[in-house]
Amino acid sequence: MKNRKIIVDREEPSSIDIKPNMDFDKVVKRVTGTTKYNSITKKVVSGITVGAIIIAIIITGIFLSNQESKTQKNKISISNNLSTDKHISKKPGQPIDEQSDNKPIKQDLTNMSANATSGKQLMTKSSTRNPSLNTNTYAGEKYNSLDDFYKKTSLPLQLFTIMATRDTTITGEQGTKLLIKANSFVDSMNKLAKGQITISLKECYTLEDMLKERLTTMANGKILESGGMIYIEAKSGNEQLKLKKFEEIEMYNPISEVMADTNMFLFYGGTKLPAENINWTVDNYSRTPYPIAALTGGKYYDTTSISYFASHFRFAKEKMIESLRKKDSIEFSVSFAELMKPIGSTGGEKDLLPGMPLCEFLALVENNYIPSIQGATRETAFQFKVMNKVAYEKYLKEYKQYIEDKNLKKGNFKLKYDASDVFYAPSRYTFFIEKMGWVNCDRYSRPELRVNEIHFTLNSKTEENVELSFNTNGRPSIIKAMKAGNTWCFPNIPVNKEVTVTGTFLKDGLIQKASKVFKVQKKETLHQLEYTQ
Amino acid sequence: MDILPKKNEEEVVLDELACINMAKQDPMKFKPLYEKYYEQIFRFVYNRIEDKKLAYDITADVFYKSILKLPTYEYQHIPFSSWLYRIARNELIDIFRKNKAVRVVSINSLKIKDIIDDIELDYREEYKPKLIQLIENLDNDDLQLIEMRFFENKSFKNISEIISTTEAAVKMRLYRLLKEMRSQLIGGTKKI
Repeated sequence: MKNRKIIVDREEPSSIDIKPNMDFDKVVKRVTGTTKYNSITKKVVSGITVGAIIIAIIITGIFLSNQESKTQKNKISISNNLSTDKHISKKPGQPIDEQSDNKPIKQDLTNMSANATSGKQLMTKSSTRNPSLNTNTYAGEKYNSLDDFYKKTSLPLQLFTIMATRDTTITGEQGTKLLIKANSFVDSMNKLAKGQITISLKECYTLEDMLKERLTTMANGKILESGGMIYIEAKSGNEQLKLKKFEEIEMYNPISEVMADTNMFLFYGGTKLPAENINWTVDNYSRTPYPIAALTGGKYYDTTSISYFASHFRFAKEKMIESLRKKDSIEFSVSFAELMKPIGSTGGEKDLLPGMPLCEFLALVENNYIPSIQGATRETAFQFKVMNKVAYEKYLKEYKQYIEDKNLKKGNFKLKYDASDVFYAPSRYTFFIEKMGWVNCDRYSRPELRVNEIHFTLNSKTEENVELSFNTNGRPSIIKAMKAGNTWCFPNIPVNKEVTVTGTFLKDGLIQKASKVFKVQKKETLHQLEYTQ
Repeated sequence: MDILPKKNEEEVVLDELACINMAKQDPMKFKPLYEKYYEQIFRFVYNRIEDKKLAYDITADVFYKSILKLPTYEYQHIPFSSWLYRIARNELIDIFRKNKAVRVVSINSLKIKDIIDDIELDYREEYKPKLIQLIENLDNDDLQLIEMRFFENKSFKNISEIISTTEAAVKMRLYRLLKEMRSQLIGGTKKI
């Protein structure tokens, strides 16, 4: 029998009668945290209850394992294991171990399962139920604020000097390659930059580097999985430069194939203040497509389809395309290059059928000719030049005439025609940057069916920064906590995901860190993040 | 007297989106949406809860959660109101699951005639108690379809947006449900 009550012809309240029991201001205060409310209190109570149960299990575990260790004469330092599981505090003056700071939790759990052989089962259970907590005190230097700490520990800028009028390739310390074309930069008055230009670069390809820069991976409320972020800045003297309209920097992303995905996009973040969260703006043209599935001699071309780029060609000249369509035959040439170094070419002539879209034509040509090129790699870019036959004949005629008139050697000059253009198909790991500042190669996180809110309380009343991170196929996602009353909240975190919550605190000028690793549960309780001195 | 031109649907959506985007940065900017949708959401809750005070509390919780979740909201051609209804619906499911309140079905007897019309039967007074009993015993998913369609006059599109399914699926489910109810009314005792 269903527990229901039927009310027939119930008197409905009139619109005037409906008065909220809580003013809007109070609702907002609940969100921003000046009013205590029931649900949080209940969560605290349930959190304490669960905590008490877990402690009881741990104590039982210690008792049982001690008993067992006595009988087996096997000395196991359970108390040490527990202390690594619960709290780690570095002694004052002790140098900070980079590795242990980056991966403290994994190390602790590994030690625990390796050492606690007799109490293994109990300890493993408690480690999954009770999220591990780790706190570190950064010894030594004092900081004025968290901003000051992040500023002093942020990644150093890599500086490169280039000539404004020359094509240049820059390679960052972590493998980012930037192909900057000549005359790409303008100043704030849109005047072409000349002479020496200083390019500043930061590369963040690991979670640790992203956290150091206080970067997050959210775009309009959607969680992103990052395949790497870079910061790029150009200066002429002290003047900040920007990219000229329609100019782009070609960026080769050194991420592994596992991290790369067919749905990676480029996101722009501009410049940011240390405490600021970037709401990344997607560049919809930048999506990485499926690679060309062309096999030649067993080689797989891990590159982009030219036809894809032709259909997404953002600066395509409509008139040029129209003029190509009017003619019944098209001359084309395809050249292959790796980081601007040519590795081969092919070409021919093919009919463009009436009404056939240009991208379809290009796909046809591409499928017939590209497999004939040997030696393409993931860094191979294709340059595809198309020209209608009439224009090509005119071009050849003028070309010959020009050489004769000027008595030049063949190949020393270029003639430009409206009826020709170049379609450029870079590798799958290549993006075109059209804005300076923070740039992020990401994909949208797959929407999970089950998500949950995670609430944290802190024992700190100091300045703090709380972040949650997890990774998917090596691609990190970082979310910054929202403060709701006395708790910190992370909404929409996928259930069953192993996440790490990291808190960075500043007290008396000293930086302290606490982190917790746990699996997001279907029924989440209130977590606690504590630091110890 | 100047009469302001009435905003079309697109303009309303754009206004709302602008308001939502501002509210993502500053929750105080949510106020126009709170005022606009408070009554609708309250009625939706109150129709399912007996205690008026509890209905107010739940409505406040719905808006609290919607402000909290607002940063994750993204317009996907689904009205903002449907997003609020979804939160309200989930909140109610949670309340009933935890037995914090008795599920109320507020039946408007005038609407019973509409249901019987849709069942394609001529109205007879004897059908009324039978139909009420059938509604009382419907499972939760079917009950909410009947409530939203007949007692709250929601369109199929609206219902589909609230329960996160397609319009066609809602129509099909309701069609089958009414067909089943028809056979129950004519046949008598068999339970759905």
